[in-house]
Amino acid sequence: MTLFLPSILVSQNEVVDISGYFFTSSGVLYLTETDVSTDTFYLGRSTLRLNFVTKNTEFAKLDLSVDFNIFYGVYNNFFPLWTNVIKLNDETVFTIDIRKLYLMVKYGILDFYSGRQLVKFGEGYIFNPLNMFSKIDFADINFTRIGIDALRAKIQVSDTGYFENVFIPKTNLQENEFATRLGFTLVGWDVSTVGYYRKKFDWLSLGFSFKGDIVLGLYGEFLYNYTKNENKRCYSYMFGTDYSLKEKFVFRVEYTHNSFNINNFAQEEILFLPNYPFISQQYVVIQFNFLYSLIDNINLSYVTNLQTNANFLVLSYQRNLLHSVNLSTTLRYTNKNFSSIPTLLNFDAICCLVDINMRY
Amino acid sequence: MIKNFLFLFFNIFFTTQLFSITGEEILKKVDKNLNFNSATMSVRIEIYLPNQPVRVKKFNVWIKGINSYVEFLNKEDKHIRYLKLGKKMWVYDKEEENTFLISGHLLKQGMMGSDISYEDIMESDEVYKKYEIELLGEEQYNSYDCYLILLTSKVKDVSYFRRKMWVSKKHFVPLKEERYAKNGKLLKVYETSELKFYEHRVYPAKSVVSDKLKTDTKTVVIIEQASFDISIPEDYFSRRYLER
Repeated sequence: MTLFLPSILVSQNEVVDISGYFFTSSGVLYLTETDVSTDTFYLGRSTLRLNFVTKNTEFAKLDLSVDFNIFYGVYNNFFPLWTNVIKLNDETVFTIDIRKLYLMVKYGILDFYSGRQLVKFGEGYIFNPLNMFSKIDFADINFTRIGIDALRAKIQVSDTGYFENVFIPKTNLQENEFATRLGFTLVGWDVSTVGYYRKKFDWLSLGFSFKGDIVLGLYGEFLYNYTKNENKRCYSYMFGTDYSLKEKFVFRVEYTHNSFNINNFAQEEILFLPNYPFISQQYVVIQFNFLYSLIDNINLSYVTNLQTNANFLVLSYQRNLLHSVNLSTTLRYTNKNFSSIPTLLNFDAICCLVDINMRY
Repeated sequence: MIKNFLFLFFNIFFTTQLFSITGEEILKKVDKNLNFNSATMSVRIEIYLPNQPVRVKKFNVWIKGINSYVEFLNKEDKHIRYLKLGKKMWVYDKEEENTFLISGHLLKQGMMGSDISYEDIMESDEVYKKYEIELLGEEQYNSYDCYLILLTSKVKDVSYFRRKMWVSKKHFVPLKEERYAKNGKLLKVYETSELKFYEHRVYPAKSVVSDKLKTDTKTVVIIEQASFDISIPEDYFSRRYLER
């Protein structure tokens, strides 16, 4: 019934475009450490995503995206007492995540967005020092982004050029955040310059990104953080390249470097560091995608922390069962030193998941 | 020596007598028939794969000059939009609100898993300038009388070194095209099985594309609805419209 309802709405609605997916996943987590009493756990997740967007966007747009999640097994341990978590029993929790709920109003060349929205800066796929707001949810196997509550004004300056300002109001006015970005296309390259001001920590950050081609696809980001405290001044950058071969293989390599030492930052500041959760000094990711056909593809992602030699490996195989229904199997291996964040995935583990995803 | 001279003489003489039209002139007529300043189309793509039910993709496309804008309609892809400005293409993921420029090498990939690459779609009419055009003769194809034309690349930056084209003598529409690599390997075959008659042109309404590097696959492209030389606002071909 839960699945049937959106289908009815989709077919009958002329005003609102309704879309989304149903995703269900289950698997086993095995701790490879020897000093634990229990080493094998069950985990599972089901998500129903509903997207509602007004069809006529001539003057305004209303966009809502909600995830209804049920987490089973050891996933429970990842959810402390959050306000949007309802504990169904010892093994199961229910959460509602509003990813987007905003109104966009057009006025001349200005688009004004108000509410919860996704704001992505920069060009990196995995490492993204410029992306200070809607970071990837690494707990989510689909790597979706987390919405932020903001006011945003975007002005079109050419066919592909734009100038935008993002303001994140906080209850305590001393904690407001502000960002500005100018993007344009220059001799076939997408370029952007970015500035942030985070009043709470008195951080001013300036950076830029680029993406284009010289035989290989090339992209990169650079961000410099200025503060009055010299120990906290730092920079982060990433550089990436991709290439496809024989129309079936796609290779991607990304390298990132952070100049900061996390010991110089307070716990609450660490969450806002560029590249979070990749806050060791150097990381490399190598991705290999084998697109055998429209039906089958295999993806291998290997991320390594060059400081601690910790690794994160994801091997997945996806098969399109029928039209919008996909079956995936994923194998993940993580080292506890991988992120250098004491509270995040603090164990060595292998995780095997099987999931089904159906778009509507 | 004399034998060679006579062969050359008769060859030139009869070739010019037999074909009162040249390869270039035929392609100019093809261009005149197929070219438009602007168009909107509703397209259905059927992707046939071995031992699989057919996969159907649907999209609407707005075209003006060398720019185009695409919105997918089928449920698995309807969060995706494309904007092509000249030789550059951007993809917008509506659900993640993320726009990215497609790297040049990725344009060789099949669009949405079909046998048609992004590069095939982005090919402009200027492409013929990169080829030597030779009229090989006349042949029948699917009961149509056709000119058989050979295009051989003059430059390096083309996707296909050699192209063989069967052009309808009556309608000046290519009914079949074979595209080859430099080593002579057949890469793709385009076949038009249905033509549709519009006010000022005859346009392929149903075509089959086969990627010969894949076994037992084909993509059928059906133009369900088309309007030519209509007014399309300029702002359709902007990043703002893509991200609206």
